[in-house]
Order: sequence, then C-alpha cells, then structure tokens
Amino acid sequence: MKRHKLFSGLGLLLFYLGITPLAGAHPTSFQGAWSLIHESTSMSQHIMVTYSHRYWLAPALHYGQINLESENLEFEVAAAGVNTLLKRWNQPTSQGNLYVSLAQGQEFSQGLDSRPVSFAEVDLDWEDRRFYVAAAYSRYFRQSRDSDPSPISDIEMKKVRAGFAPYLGEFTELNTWFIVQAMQVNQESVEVTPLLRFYYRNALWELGRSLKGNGFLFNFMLHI
Amino acid sequence: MKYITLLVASLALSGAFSLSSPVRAEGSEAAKTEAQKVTSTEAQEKTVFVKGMVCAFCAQGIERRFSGEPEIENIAVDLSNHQVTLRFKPGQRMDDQRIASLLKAAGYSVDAQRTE
Repeated sequence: MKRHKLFSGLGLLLFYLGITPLAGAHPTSFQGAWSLIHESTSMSQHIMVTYSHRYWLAPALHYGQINLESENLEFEVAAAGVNTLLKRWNQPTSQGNLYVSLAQGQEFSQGLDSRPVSFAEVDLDWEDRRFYVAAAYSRYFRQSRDSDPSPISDIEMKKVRAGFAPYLGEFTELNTWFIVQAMQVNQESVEVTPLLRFYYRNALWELGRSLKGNGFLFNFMLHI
Repeated sequence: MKYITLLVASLALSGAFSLSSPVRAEGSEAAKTEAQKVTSTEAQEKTVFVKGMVCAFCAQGIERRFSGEPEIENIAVDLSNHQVTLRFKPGQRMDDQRIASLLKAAGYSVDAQRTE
C-alpha cells in the first residue's frame, strides 16, 4: 500500500510539474536527448521519461494509470523498458516511423496484490509539413493469482490519429495542428477527441476535449 | 525673374548630381567589396537538402548534431525548404560524405537530387 501511495505521489508530482511524455508521440528522439512526456485523457494517464542513446534507441521509465469503469478497475503501473525506432522512411518532404516499445514493471492496482506486469507498444506514424496520421497499439500483459477476487485480463489500448496544419510555421515559430484522435481501451466505448497541438522548438503540448464531454486531454512533451 | 529662377534651379540640380556622383562611386565600391565578402562567405557555407526533416524536433536534432562538430561555426535550419545551411569556421570545411554520415547518425538522409 505504501508503494502504491509512493508511485501515485510520484505520478501526480510529475503530472503537476508537467514533465511527462507522450506514449506513441516520439518514443525515441535525437541522440543525447532527454524526453519528458505526459499523456492524459479522461480514463488514463501515462508518464514517460526517456534518454535517447541513439536516435533509434531510448531506455524509458513509465508510470501509468487507467480507470476501466466497466471492469471496476483502477490500474496503476510503474515500469522500465526500452523504446526502439525499428524503421524510418525518409522522403524529400515527409517522414514515416515504426516504433516498438517494451517494458517490464510492477502493477499496483486497487484491491489487488502488487505483481509483475509486462508492456508492449507498436507505433506507426507518417507526417509531412501539412498532414499527419498515426496509429498505436499497446498492451499490458497482466498476471493472475489464485487469491484474486475476479479473473484478471490484459489491458489493450488502440489509438488512431489524423491531423493537418493550417499554416506552415518555421522551426523558430509556434506551430499549430488540428488533430482528431480516436482511442479505445479494452471493450470500453471509443473515445473521440478533437485536439489542438502546438509546438515551439523543443516543446510540444496538446489540448483537447472528448466529444462525449466527459473529460479533457492534455499532453505535453519536452526534449532537452 | 522666371529665367533667373530656372537658371538657379538648373545649377542647383546639376550641382546636386555632380555632388552625388562621388557618393555613388563610393557606393559602387562598397557594393563591390560587399559582393567580394558574400562570395567569400559562400565559400564557407554549404546548403544541404535533407530528407525527412519535417518538424521542429527533427530540426532540433539536426542542429544539435552539427553544432557539436569543431568545423561548424553556425547552422541554419529552413524547415519550409527542407534545407540546412552549414557555416564553417575560417579555414574549415566538411566534405559531403561526412555531412551525409552526420545526418544519417541523426536519423535523416541527404536529398542528393536537390543538394548541389
């Protein structure tokens, strides 16, 4: 229980400091970069800190929370792993990426004993200066115990995104994107969120509100 | 009186032109010197078109990668045209192969079709 509170406190601290990473946004960055990413929706939040040893390889620390109302589950996890850029397609005016992230950690869900959990995520994105599309699939592989009050199931998250830039900003200017995101966790209903993305130099932030009106989306990413 | 006024005006105008001539000549010399400087500057710069450079984070990564190299005095990223201009320190150069290698290490590649 103490550990649970410790990780909750750490997660909230990182959240309020705004130093969190975007799962699926940039699992790896340029060589030597520290990335701080936070991703939060009405049902989940994910914090990630990475260090890009190479542009295609970044050890990562994760902290995540997911609330599944239909399963009456408050899932909480802390994990360490590695993010890899498996393939990059560089074109004269566009770029595509395929990332795979793996992590191993500990689950601290409400009402359950602490236990090991594994995490895997695949991210695919393509963008040019005007358009952007992305898809991500992630899964927490959970472990069952005889003492569990009810059967344990894995948690899977699916996400797709599409967006466009209303104007083309320079590197030193504020860039703005209009994006629509659809996300589903397990068998919960699909949550569609229109959002605004802004980035300026090494910082990116996104603000949105679910069409259901039941929550906000706030993402933040910083590369230093 | 009318003729006197016209005469004075003509003299004044011609004087103005004759006075301005040396200034223009000086301007021309200055322009020549400036042109020489520009030529000299161009010799110390190289512009590379980069494949896959589409966002500020890409630009930042490339900037970081090159700015750590001893030959580089300044790097300018032009996202709109997908190009990077490298300015070298006096007497320093960087060959195309090395530029391509550094870009590759940053996760990008040279657009050889567009790079001169």
